[in-house]
Amino acid sequence: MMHMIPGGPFTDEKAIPSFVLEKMNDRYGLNDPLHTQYFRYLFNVLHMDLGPSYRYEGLSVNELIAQNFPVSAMVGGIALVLALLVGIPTGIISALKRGHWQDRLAMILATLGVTVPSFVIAALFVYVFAWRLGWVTVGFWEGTSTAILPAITLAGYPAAFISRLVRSGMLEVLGQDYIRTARAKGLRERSVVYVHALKNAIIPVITYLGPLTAGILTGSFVVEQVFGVPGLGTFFVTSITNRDYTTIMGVTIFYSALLVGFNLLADVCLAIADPRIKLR
Amino acid sequence: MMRKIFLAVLAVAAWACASFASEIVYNLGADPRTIDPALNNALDGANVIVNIFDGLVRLGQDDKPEPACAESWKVSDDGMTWTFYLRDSLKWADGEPLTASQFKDGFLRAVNPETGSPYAYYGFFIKNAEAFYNGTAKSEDVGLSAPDDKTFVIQLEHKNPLMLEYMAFPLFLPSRMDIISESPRAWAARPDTLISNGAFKLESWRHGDGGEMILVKNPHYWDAENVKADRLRFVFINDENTSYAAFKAGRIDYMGNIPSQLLPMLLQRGEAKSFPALGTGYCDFNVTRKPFDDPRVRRAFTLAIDRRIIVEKITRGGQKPATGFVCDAVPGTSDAKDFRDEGGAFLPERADIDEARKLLAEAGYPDGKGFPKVSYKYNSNAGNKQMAEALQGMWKQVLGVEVELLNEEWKVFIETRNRMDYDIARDAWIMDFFDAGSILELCITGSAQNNTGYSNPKFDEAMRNAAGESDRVKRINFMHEAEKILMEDLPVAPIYFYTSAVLQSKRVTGIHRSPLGYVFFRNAEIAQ
Repeated sequence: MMHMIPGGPFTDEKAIPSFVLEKMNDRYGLNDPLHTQYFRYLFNVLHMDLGPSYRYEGLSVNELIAQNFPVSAMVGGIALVLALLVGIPTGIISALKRGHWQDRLAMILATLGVTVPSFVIAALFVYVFAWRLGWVTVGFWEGTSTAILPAITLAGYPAAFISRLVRSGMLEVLGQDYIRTARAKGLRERSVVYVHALKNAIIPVITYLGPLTAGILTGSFVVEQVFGVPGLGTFFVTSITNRDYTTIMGVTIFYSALLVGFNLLADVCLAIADPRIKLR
Repeated sequence: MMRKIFLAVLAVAAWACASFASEIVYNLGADPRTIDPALNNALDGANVIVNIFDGLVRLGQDDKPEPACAESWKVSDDGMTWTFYLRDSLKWADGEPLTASQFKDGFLRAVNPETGSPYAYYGFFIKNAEAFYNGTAKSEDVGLSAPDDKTFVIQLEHKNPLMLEYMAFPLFLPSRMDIISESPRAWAARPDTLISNGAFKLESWRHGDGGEMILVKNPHYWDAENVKADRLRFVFINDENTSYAAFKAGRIDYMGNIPSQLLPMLLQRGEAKSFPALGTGYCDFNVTRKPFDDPRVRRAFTLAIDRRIIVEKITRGGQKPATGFVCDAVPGTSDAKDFRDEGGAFLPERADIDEARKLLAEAGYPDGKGFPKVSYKYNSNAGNKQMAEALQGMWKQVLGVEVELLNEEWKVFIETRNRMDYDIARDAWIMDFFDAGSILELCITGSAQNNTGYSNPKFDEAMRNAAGESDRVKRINFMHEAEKILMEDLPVAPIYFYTSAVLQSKRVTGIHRSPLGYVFFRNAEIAQ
């Protein structure tokens, strides 16, 4: 499918004479029939070799991922923790204070978080914190300190989403018989909410955490571009405009593997959290 | 105890500040595909190569070739043999001696078909290089030899009037085959195997947007005493607003890609500086299809463009209206004369409405009546879109012709244009050499860069004459003749001459930007 997009990895404004192009394609085996290229690639992938990058001379896709994934994973990891730390408490509060101003405020924020696209938040942050206040510099990667703004940007959407999941989960659970029983037993309200109700209300969040973790750890194109984060997210887009076939495939396979892995992990967690779900 | 900790923290902080302050930070824009001299064909890669490698000659502060690794040279009477004499005790960055045979290796590598160099054809002026490339000659037959460690001889296939300019081009550099033969592809991607011989050497490289490259001074460089900066940091910040924010915060010393909406203001305030760049922005006409097979139609479309409005309202970066195909700042018959001034203006800056209408009527389309549906194709980009809309408006207003605008993704567009699947297409060219031929040659019949299908034997002949002529005045005059023919036929409609704008921090001096686009740091220093 990739090969059907017009243009190749060496298509450039300065047209390369056809005889030279032929030799360049030869070097990467791009002149072989597609099925030969396909099976050769499959064979290599089975041996954990994602092939050489066409965009970065002399680098393999494995090296690109090894170099850039840790950065994305760090930003994503912080974002994930933030999303959970913000999302779950606000969800609980708005469920408990249903209809009160706390609930309304939390839901307005959550709606904003879900609807405002990350590039708007990112641009706003750059304007306020980098241009106006000068607290941070963007464009330079200096570890944790530069990871915070992009992490907050990334955390916005999942935090809002988790908050809504928790709220609706809590509301549903709080109306159930066993909660009434728990209350009737004379348990403290805190224990009712945090031990009995939350355990069930959190289940949809765990389901959502699987794909979320895979997505957030591999980075976001927009956020990485705006903040100048040397992560993996950029490669999902630039590899396509560069027609870097092996990198397109490589990062996709890597993402899929993470996705499958974290979904599996989420399922295992679900089985532990909810005895109604059984591992077979 | 607390005091000790405090002092230690202070020391670390002072060290961090000091190490930051002594480096010069340049936003290269994109992470280069490669910095292997034989494999690079992009400006970002070249900007690293010119700072870490050094050829026989190098471009000086005046943009003319000056002695570098070669101290002097001699040309045979027939102009076909060039002998370069290297300096004493030249060394690579790892301290190994640099010999003439390594120059031979480097040149040979550029034209070796195994290497797959995109610029291999630039080496075809060397005797038998093309035959070697095509497998009909052996490497020993190529006209390169190193009779001793300090003498390098090049025999030519045909005369090359730009020989020294070629020698300064970042392809003709020495090679360390002891390293390259072990990892022919990966050697240039890793600091431990990339051994160079220029003013700086590569210390580290983190790939991707947001990554960076650290270059440090090479103590073994022959001219090391004149290299002032100890450390350069080339960052890859793709987003122009992010880059500008970092510049404003004092974290970047030198950057190009300035946000286009801020550029006019920054130029006006004198914060950004604009330099001529050797490039022309223009439209291609597909001369193999109706209606642009008719030169009158092409001229009508060309004259309908108001170039002054385009540079003042659309590009707004100090560009100049193009009055010919060859841009300003290209040398003419002598260094003091400008090729453009000598050639004169072929096109008016403002639209010539009457003439344009008259020509279109002569071609059989009075007031645009009966004109077939045509389209203008361009690659998707906000600036190109504005330009396209302006052109569309001018053609509608002056000629009464409807031109449909079609945009395509960059690589798709290049393929479309190479296939000549268009009526009018956006095009632009930045020259590789300070020479009018560098852009005129695009229109030679059958050239890989000829996207218009244009073919005029008279033009080809003038260009051939120029290529074979070593007398400068005669050679330039052949090119004037060629440009004149081209501007009568107008397979291309020149619109504006490029400029490049840069932002430079006040603490840094001595960065030299060549109109070819290279940025040299060997004389850069931090002013205290």
